[in-house]
Amino acid sequence: MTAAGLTLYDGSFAGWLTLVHDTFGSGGEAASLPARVEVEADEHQGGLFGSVRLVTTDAAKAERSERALGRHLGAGGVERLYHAFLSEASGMEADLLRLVARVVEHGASALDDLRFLPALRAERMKGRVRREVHRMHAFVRFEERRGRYVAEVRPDHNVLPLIGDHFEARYPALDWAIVDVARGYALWHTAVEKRGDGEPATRFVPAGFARALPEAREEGAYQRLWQAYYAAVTIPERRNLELHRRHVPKRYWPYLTEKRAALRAT
Amino acid sequence: MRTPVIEKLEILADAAKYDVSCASSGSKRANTPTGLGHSTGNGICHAYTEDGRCVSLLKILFTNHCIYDCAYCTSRRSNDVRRVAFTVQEVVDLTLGFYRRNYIEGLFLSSGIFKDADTTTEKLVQVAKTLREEHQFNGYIHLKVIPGASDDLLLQAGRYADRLSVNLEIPSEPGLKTVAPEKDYASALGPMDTLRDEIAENRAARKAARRVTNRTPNRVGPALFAPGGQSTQLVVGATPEDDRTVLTLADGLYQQRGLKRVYYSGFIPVSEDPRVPVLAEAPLRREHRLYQADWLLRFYDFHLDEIVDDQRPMLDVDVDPKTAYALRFPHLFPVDVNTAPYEWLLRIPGVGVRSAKRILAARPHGTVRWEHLHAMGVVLKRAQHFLTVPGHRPRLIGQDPEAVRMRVVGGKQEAAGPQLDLFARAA
Repeated sequence: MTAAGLTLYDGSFAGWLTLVHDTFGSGGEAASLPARVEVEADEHQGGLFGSVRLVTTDAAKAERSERALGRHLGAGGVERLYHAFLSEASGMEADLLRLVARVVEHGASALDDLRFLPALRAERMKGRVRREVHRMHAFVRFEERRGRYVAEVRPDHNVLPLIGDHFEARYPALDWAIVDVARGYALWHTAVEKRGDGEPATRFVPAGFARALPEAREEGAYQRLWQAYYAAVTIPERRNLELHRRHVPKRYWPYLTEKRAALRAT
Repeated sequence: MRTPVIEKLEILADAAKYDVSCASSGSKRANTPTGLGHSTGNGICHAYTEDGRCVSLLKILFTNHCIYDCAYCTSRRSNDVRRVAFTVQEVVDLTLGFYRRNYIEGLFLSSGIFKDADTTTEKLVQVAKTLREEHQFNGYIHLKVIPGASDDLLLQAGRYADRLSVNLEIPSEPGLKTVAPEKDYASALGPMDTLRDEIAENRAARKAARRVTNRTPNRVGPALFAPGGQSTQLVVGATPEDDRTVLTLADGLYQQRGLKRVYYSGFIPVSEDPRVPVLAEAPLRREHRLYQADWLLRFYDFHLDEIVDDQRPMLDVDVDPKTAYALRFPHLFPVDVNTAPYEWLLRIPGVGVRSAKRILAARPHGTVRWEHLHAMGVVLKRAQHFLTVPGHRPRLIGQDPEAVRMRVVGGKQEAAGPQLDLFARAA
């Protein structure tokens, strides 16, 4: 049973969890699942969409939902939903609600039944998000600027929340930042010796924080060394540009030091 | 006049690329609170070359000076190439500078042999030691072991490296002697055995310590010794050994010497030398089939003689080894996707480990049908002939396996490439 009209929320996972609370939280009552859930935007003003319901993100409700989901699915299951959510795929919020309804009815294994369309979609998007996380681990390229290592990326999905741990474990003693140029915000990391008591290692900041920093002296030399290395390791007898582009789709090239020269040539 | 680092890098990276070992996986190494780097165990390909190969490590020779004259090697002493050498500091700086920028997972350091095996190995160990101890580097390090190196140096190398490798290069000793008369198998197998024992002992000691302390492996208990194990490389197509010889050797290395990986490198003629064949192109398809066969041995629970035997000493070039097996034993197919055990799902051409696991996970929820298979990752073009689900029962495999082969290959048989023509020797 689905509700008509449009449900809007603020685009955050906490916002979606609030919606979960409002949909399932009445306890026992088979609630009607919202058919269309979208992130609130300018286009929704002006009353063109008939009945519009606005969800106000509530931290307490969100936490309760997350805990309840955790009881049904375990931490791993909730993470699967979170990763699917971060894909920002169209209709995913509504799909995930249907999936939660299935889980309430049939148990955690409903996530694995790929014959159920929302489960299949969630699984697919989760896969894409995780692949994008791996791509970020691989393709993030830092440049040394005065006082900080900075990288710019343009990921397909909103993966910045998922990659901080990896880079923090790798570079705890360095100041670094990773900027999502399309979404306009950055992961900002402070070196361990510089942190105050209880200060978190990483936080989210606007993209502009990183823009102003000038390049460090040695940076150009290292980029040239890397480009020379990259050119030297190709084996021409095995050239296979189709395979190459499958591994490194062209949309990543502007952010890869070794491909920038190739881009200028095309 | 000192050679600029960038020139040394171009020469010594170019020379190192024929060692195709590229993995940065297989070793979990935690960082320290103020250190640089870690290894998750999975390996990361930071870049890809235009030939589609993964670039995970800074892979270089320490120097391309070499006292040996192996016919398949670009750095052999009789080849007229420019010879250069890094300093320990230069390699350290390159590794750290690239690592901080997330260009690489770590360092792969090999070398031509200057003076003797021990003098060379000492330099390589010094680089690794400097990175670990002076710079708190906890990223990935793969060190080559020079055949003939003394045990003492082997033990030092294992303390700093994640993986060690010593290359057999040619898949038989007589073959090796024809192209590298100064080398032999004993000087490679000896170190392999020493390392096998040390690695196994270290693994057992760390496991015992973990049971007691339950903390991360390289913070308490015995220090790590080559936690990523050892690997080797076989050059394919420079000498006449068939696939059965290659795979028998590889199977033995996995079973008896506990190697983590065997790499197969299609021979690329790097200079005119009468001891090796003139090939129009590198035997890439043969190399590809060898990797597929290698995977069947390690992940699909195939026995060696199910893949190659006396009657069939060469792998089929037109179809992958699993499909070749299915075509040889058509009476075992089609496999029922809804009832077959995991081991048999793995034997269906077009069904990989991931698809087999997904099928198993979906079965308790109800019947798996044709329309679900694609979503589970099954390659239907191939698999359709070898599996059965409700509404789909292939008959062709029972009636006419040859026709199935034609369909899988795509209806056209490519002419056997030059790699199967044996040895047009240079006049």
